[in-house]
Amino acid sequence: MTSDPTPVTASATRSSLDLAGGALSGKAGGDMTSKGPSSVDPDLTVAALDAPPTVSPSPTRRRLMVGALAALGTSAAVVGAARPVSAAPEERPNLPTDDDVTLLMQAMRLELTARDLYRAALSSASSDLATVIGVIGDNHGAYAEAIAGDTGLSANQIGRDDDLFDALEGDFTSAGSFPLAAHTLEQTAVATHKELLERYESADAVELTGSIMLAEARHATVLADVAGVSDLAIVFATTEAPLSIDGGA
Amino acid sequence: MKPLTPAARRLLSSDLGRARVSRRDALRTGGVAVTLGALVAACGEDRGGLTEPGRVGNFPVQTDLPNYGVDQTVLLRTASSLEYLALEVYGTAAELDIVPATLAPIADEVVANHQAIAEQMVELTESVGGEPYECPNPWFMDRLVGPWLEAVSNDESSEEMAADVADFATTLENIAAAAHQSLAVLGETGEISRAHIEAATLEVRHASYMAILDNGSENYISPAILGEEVTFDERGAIQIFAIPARFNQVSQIEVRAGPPDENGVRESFLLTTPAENSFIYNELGSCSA
Repeated sequence: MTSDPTPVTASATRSSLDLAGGALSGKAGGDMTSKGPSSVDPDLTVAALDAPPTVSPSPTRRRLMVGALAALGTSAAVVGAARPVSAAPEERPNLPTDDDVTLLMQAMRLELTARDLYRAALSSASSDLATVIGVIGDNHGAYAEAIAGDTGLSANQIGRDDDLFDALEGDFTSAGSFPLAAHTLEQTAVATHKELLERYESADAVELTGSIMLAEARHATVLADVAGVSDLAIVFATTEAPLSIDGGA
Repeated sequence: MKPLTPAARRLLSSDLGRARVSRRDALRTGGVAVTLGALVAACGEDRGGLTEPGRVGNFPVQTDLPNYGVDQTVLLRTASSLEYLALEVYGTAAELDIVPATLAPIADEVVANHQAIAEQMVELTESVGGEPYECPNPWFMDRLVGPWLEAVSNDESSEEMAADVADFATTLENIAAAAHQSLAVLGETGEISRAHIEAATLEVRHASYMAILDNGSENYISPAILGEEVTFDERGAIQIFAIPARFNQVSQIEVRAGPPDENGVRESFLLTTPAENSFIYNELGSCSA
């Protein structure tokens, strides 16, 4: 099953073209030229991940994906593979099912990792950005707590994804690379939650995920501005592919 | 005086002569009668008559309100009506030449995005066997956009008008996103839920970027997140932020417009996500776009 493109095909297409052309190059020292469109064919993603990079892939992106894959203990199977069809609303249970809890646990781990990355970024943040970084980091912590409340999982027991954290810590603690690294992380989180949302069976999981991923889309918009990005094909689009998360039915 | 006859004397001295009805007797007898009457009435059947509260004077015959059902088609028709509402607002602003300078660089893109979402909602409506609705939501047009436009038309300068348009556009993006966020949960299929959440994602990006274009980094984070008070700007308008809350909200949003009154207060408008009173029910049919 392939993911559908973003609803605004014009933007998505332009996003791909502009990114391929290096729309972000030279802005805040970042390089996001290897980014794909917001939603990609899982088969293509597998191939892209397995194949050697051909167009100077972004270190941040690569490290993010590699770290995520390793940490989440998955093979190259991507989120879309063997994705079940969402339950119809009248069939949706209110509380998260066992499969939902498995997926939400991964989402919680992503949120805890993001929280810790922003906390690490505070050490090198300018006073102008400290509030933004602090709030966004706290927001991710709140998302993890909300998931814990919904599932009964303990955030302390789940913990962050150390491999992903280690892979991104350098970019987050460097003032020069922080904006784009953080923007990439937020966009990846949006894409990942969107993919998960389609797999959840319960209304609670869908509702909670919707409120989280939309807030993260706002984070991404702010961070794009911090990074000096004004290309609407990037500002308005989900420019990252989802992380690979295994579990559920 | 003529003396009483023996017969008359006997009559007066007898019980019969003292048989005047006392007040106590009257109450006792009356109570028994009322109790028996109530008992008989309560046991009766087919008493008939009107059961509605009484009304005085001439009045039209009351008719029951129609009870329209809400299904997937209704929700999708409502979603498309909101997108056409946004297109109507942007179109009107362009027609009146009051698009704020801050939004000018993104106006075409935003309009194109709403057009694309509207068309997608129309397609989904058709895919579930419904009749598409390709007009602005009449409930919101009559009760929100119309009065808002009237307030804006009373602004004293084109700069004030443009500022009001910027506030309203940002708020409209926020509430449209909230509507799609709510509808995503109700999506009957994965395709419909995904379409709603993608629309919501795009529209929160619109809203956040508009807030940033309006006032730069000052509008990044709402003070409410930090536990501080959200104040009015120097125009007396409610400040709008790129990140207004930790979680994306679906609650109503207030926006102000028009000239301030003698106390410096502008007219308030409340934007809400669609509900029973603003759904585009199937019985409403299509519209003449």
